[in-house]
Amino acid sequence: MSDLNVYTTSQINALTPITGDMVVDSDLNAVKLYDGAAWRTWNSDSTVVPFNNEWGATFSSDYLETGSDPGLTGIKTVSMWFNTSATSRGWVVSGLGGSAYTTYGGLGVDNNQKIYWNDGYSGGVGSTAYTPGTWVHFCAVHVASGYSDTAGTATPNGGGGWYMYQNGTRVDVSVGHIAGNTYGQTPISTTNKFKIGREGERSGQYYFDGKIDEVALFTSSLSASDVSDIYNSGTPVDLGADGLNLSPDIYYRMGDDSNDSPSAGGNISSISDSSGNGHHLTQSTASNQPTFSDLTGETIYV
Amino acid sequence: MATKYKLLNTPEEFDAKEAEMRTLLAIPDSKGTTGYADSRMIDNPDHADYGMFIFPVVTEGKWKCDQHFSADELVDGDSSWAKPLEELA
Repeated sequence: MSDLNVYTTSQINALTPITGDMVVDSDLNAVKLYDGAAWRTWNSDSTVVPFNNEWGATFSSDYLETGSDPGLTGIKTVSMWFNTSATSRGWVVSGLGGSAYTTYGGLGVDNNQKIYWNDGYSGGVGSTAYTPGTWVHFCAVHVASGYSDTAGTATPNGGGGWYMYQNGTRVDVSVGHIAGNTYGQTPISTTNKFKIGREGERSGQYYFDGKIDEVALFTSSLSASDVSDIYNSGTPVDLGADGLNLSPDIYYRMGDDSNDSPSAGGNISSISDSSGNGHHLTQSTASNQPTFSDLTGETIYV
Repeated sequence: MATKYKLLNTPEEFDAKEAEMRTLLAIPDSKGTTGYADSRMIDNPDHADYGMFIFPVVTEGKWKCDQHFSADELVDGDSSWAKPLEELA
């Protein structure tokens, strides 16, 4: 009986495979098959939460939130997957930021199908287009000093800034900071209940119309290699101890936590925080509860 | 979830309808669901229905209740119900 070769995620990414190669990823405890274009991963990520909000900027739609402000300070990395074809503004996550824009802090998509990453201080720190109707991985990573965007423009005074990665590639060309002020130069914090699927605490709530998976916040600045591992050529992976072991401070697997009880089409009254820190998401109002959906095309799983 | 809406004139009408739905849908349930809907008002002063209360009517899934309403009294969501917000930078 022959054995499969065993490599780390980084070692696999450095291989020059041919179609049909199969290996074991020791970081993920997963099997990977090269399909000629990318490694396909067999793992257990099998559920996502769709937020079927037909329109934005309105009332009584789907979202989940923590019971209180998680009280995290110094958040330096925010990572998530989303999939939407909507042409209305909506927020994937919210409840982050500083005193001036506490309701804005988070990630949103706008009616031009561009991403808004907002550090909660600036009122919007730029936009970048995404492909509607596909799974998009977005990750924002704060660096404390020496920030410069991908065009080489440095933050004034050698200050901090936010690297923005879309599908594993940096996209913060003149959107990672705004020259001449302090935007983006400090890490963020949770400042209200952390929400998934709508804007923060205000009346116009910009519900997200689409699907969301694997939302994670870290008080550490992940490396470019870490972000590449999370993106994993487009296949979500477990970021916790059984996977990449990146120790997120908040982590929503959206149905894949052992304490979640997903069923196709079933209503969601709670989502577990897989970080172990207890910041679980809930929705006690029936008409605001999203429904679980099995993955279709996101991950091959056994 | 898929939702239609019924516009009500007063908060008392909203509360009565919400209580009716809780009874019909056996809320609270064992999963922590404690209410059917939160009261919200059309707050755009330029909208013709300004000041009316928006009652969501779920049309599929566990909380489906549109069968308890007449189809001709339900409307689709209208993004202009919300008071316009300032644009993000």
